[in-house]
Amino acid sequence: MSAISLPTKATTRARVRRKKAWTPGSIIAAAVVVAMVLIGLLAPWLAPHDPLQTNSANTLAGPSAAHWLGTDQVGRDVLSRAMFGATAAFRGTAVAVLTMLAIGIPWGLAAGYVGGVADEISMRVADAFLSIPGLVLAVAITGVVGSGLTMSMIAVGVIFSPSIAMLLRSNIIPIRRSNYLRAARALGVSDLRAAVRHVLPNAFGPVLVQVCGLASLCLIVQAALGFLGLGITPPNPSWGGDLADVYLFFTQAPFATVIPGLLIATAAFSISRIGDAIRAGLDVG
Amino acid sequence: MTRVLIGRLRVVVPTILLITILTFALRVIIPGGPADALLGGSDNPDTIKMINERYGLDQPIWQQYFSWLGGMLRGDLGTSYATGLPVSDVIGPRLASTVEIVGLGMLLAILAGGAIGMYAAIHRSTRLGRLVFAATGIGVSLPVFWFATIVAGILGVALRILPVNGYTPLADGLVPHLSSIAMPVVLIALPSTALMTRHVRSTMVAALESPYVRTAWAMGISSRRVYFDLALKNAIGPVVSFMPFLAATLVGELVIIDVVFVLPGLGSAIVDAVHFRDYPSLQAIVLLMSVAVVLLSLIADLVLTALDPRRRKEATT
Repeated sequence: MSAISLPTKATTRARVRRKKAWTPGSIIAAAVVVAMVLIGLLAPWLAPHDPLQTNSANTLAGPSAAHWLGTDQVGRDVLSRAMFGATAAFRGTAVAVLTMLAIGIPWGLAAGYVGGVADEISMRVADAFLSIPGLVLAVAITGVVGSGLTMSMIAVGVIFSPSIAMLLRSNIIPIRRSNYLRAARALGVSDLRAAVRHVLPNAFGPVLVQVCGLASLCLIVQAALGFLGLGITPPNPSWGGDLADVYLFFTQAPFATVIPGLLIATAAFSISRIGDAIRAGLDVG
Repeated sequence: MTRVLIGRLRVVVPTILLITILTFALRVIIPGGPADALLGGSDNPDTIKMINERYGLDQPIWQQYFSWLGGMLRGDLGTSYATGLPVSDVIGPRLASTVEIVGLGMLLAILAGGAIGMYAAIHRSTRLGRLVFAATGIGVSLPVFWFATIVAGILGVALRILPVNGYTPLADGLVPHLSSIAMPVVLIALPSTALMTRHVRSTMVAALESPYVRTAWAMGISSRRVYFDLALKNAIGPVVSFMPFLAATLVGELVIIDVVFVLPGLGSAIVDAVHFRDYPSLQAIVLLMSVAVVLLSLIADLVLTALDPRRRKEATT
């Protein structure tokens, strides 16, 4: 009897978990992110107007047939700029996230798997990194190396890498004492291979959730740099920069002010919702 | 308490030293070196040599670091490239609004985040409790500069309820002073409050679902004592370790808030320093803000430790 009921129980449980992970909300969030990335990639073909084309006769206009989302303070098409802004936003976020992983994963592996003095030193370095406000260092590094999206987003990735490293480290420590790792080592698997093939995949789940949270933060920092006029050089379109351009005209054209900000908020929120779905799917805290 | 403080300082001092190294490293990565930045692209080798000698840039890098660090410890923050005045003259007048807004913002984030987080944890199975938790998810991903521009636009420009014309010092009267910092304080605290709420909620839920709380309920202990004396005190530990992140988030938002509300603080000073390529000021501000984060989290840590007798004991061993 129990031999028959056990697998049924297991499948029911698996189904419950999957249902919890992909709620309508998280499916919409994932669809929004995919759509935004696609629009960003295809912006040169999709955009109805040149995002740099100004028109002094038609400024701060509301939505019309020619300009679906109206125009900004120098008559540029808000929709086209928003589309090209997506390119900048997601390219910047991708650069930051890749940098974060490229530094954070080896760092966390070294700290958690090697342990000892390496662990102690890397903890202190992480404390120091995490005490420097991300946006402040991003502003400073952009100021030092000059404007440009790539360098400032690499800087953001460097600043956030200790969060990845420290989380990975804390997930690795229990694995270090696990039987499967002992078995692998007893079979003569090398340190590096054990770390990459056995430890990393088992410790990576919670890190993936954290990556989504940090990616959403990177997107906001990217927009904030644009807002301060530091990331993307104006007049090139970016959501943050466009918001900075129009917010002084809030009373005349509330619509143009709302669009870039709404896009930043929606993108950031959707990315973190994907993280929540992964968290629920992996059943990690 | 003195022994707790000494124990904390063993961590805080190396952290601050590492921050000084990271901050100093900003100088190393300047393309073309500081002399080039100072001259604005002039490439006369004699001029560059003169500048390098004058600012000590011809010395080995470690020697430059130690003389810079020594200066910082003595309160000499260097000479501004933009004005030629001491950096402390640039930063000094900017401290008042920053200290006030960051301090009040941190206090607000801890108190409001703590209270809302506790509410959401206790009422985690009710609709309102879940709604509060969902709202914090939006609060975390809300770009503050967008929200700030909208709030400033509605309350300040359209309705004229609160001023958006910068910082009014306390000397000009209490009411104008408070109304000039009301929006900045609330907005700077917004993301940190959302983060704090989420964090407090998750640690409180863990505490409330633990066996000792179940035992306490079974023993008939009042709900007030269960929530405040048992669960809250046990949730303090994880909240303390979260303090540096909270403080860093808050100080980072200062850059945005200063720019939107035209405040004469360190946030607008750093943006100015970037535009004028004023690296000594830039370094000094990054250092100051990072040390502020360390000290804010140290203060929060000490206060929360004082509330939890068990942590007091742990810290001394």
